[in-house]
Amino acid sequence: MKPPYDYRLNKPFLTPIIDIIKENNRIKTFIFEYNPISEPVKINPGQFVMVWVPGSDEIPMSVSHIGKNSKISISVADVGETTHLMHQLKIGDKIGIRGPYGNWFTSQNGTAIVIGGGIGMASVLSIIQDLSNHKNDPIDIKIDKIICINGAKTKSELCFNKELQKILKENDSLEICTDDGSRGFKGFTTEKLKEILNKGKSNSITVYACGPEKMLKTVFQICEDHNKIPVQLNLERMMRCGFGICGLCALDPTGLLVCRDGPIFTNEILREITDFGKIHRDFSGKTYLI
Amino acid sequence: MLNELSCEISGIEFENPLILASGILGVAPSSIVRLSNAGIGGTTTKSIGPRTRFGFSNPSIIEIDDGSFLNSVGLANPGIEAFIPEIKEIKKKTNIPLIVSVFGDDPHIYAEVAKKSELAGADAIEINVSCPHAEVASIGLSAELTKKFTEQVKKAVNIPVFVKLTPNLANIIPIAKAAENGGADAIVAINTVRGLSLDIETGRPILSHGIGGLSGKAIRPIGVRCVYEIYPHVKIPIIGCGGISKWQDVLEYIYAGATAVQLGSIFSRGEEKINEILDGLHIFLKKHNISNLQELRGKSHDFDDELEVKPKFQN
Repeated sequence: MKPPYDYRLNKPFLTPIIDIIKENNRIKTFIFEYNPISEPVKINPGQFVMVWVPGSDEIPMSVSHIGKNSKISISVADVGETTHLMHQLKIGDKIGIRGPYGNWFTSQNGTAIVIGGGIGMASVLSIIQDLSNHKNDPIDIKIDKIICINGAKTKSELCFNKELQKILKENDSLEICTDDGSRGFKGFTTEKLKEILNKGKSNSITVYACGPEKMLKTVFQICEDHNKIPVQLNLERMMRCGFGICGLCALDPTGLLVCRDGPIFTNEILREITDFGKIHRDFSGKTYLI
Repeated sequence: MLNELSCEISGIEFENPLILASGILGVAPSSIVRLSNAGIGGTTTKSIGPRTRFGFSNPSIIEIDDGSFLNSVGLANPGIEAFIPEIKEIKKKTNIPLIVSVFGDDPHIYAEVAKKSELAGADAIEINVSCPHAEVASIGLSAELTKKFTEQVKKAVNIPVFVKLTPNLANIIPIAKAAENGGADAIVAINTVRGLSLDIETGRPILSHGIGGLSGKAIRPIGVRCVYEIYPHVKIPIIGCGGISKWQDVLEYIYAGATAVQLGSIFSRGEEKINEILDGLHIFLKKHNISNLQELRGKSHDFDDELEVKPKFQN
């Protein structure tokens, strides 16, 4: 699904930060109101916004929480120049927001396996909430079970566990993985996924994931090997516009754009994308191997 | 290949007059393949310079009103060496004309990038002397420099050379003539118009560079006017560019004197726009029993003698 095109959402809207939550030593969640037009802006799980730090840069970021009264949040890992500047921001400081952009995760019947690798967890929080809502109130979509795999390099980099525990209900599960084994399962989220798939014999599984692209590529291969389990994977690329004209986020060989045809891609499309897990473009438009 | 929309520019045949404008979707070969599959007549790459250039930071492209955009990308590009394989790939995967847009620090560098593009397979070169928020803007403001740069590129290559002009001056005619005198095979008019957008709450310029180039619907009358003014003064074909979003806009440019047109900002609304525009043109031509769109070229000038020149006064 694609969002309706609305030109009014393609210019940054400066809005003050109303709360900041320190998730761990390198991740902060910034909460603000996004009401650039007279009517409420509908944001769906997995969609992204362009976030402008005036005086610095503007970067695409997934919306981590979609709240009431136009309140939304982004969760930012302090990993680069712009994200580092964002970490210095205080309540009341203004950031520019435009969007939302792209398609979104859609809850599917059956068992949901949701994987977040590092800060990728922020992008899947709202689909976990959506799945949980459907599970509690099964009108059109029936969710049997939510298995959440939350992975990080080490214990101190894990995030959102308390929040996940609150969202997840009986017979759901939260699997924690760290590369160094400092907490939970020692190993990658993908190894945990394999273990779960080899063990369980549930029908109609859907895998939702966001994280480093190499992880996503492995998730995809594992799912393809397990009778082509449907996936919804959230890809990330450099972009200038977010609405389909700069071309930096084009994927080979189909020319699909991460900003508009994605960022969530399913099996049929991922099978065709030769760039997937391999090639990105930098801000000049030059390709590089990831 | 001959059909009611086909046209020819300096020996290059276009199945239809819609060409991708430089700077939009013109960096990844896959994007160009996608537009080719969607029915576009030709494509122009992003402007390519001698070395990798990141341009200006974001925000660098915003939509300031319905269908009107302001950008200060700042000629970001991978550099010709990295772009050579991309040109080759585009040529391998498409069979429509490919125009490579080039720029550089001096005439020799323009020529060098153009030569390398030709060797990689470009069908034509477009010289960018008109990006309004980069160093090259000053070239396009001077007739002398425009001629000099055009001559240098013409000397270096054996394929047609188009010169893309800026609208950011009082009189575009001398620049168009200078390009023709320098040997240009066609003129592309216009590049973006200098513009500025400010945040309402804070007064702060929104683009990282402040002033940017306006494109889209807002500039169409400026583009049509420039083509209209240039047409009687040059013999070479004109490619109209600026703000085309529907088939009627294409006709306006053709009436003003354009042989073909370039589309850019409209692709924010998807590549389906190509077919919408082509269908509209086909229907119009059929309805008026016109065998080729080119019969309408310059038609607006039939009315030159009828235009009011002097305002009227009381008494």
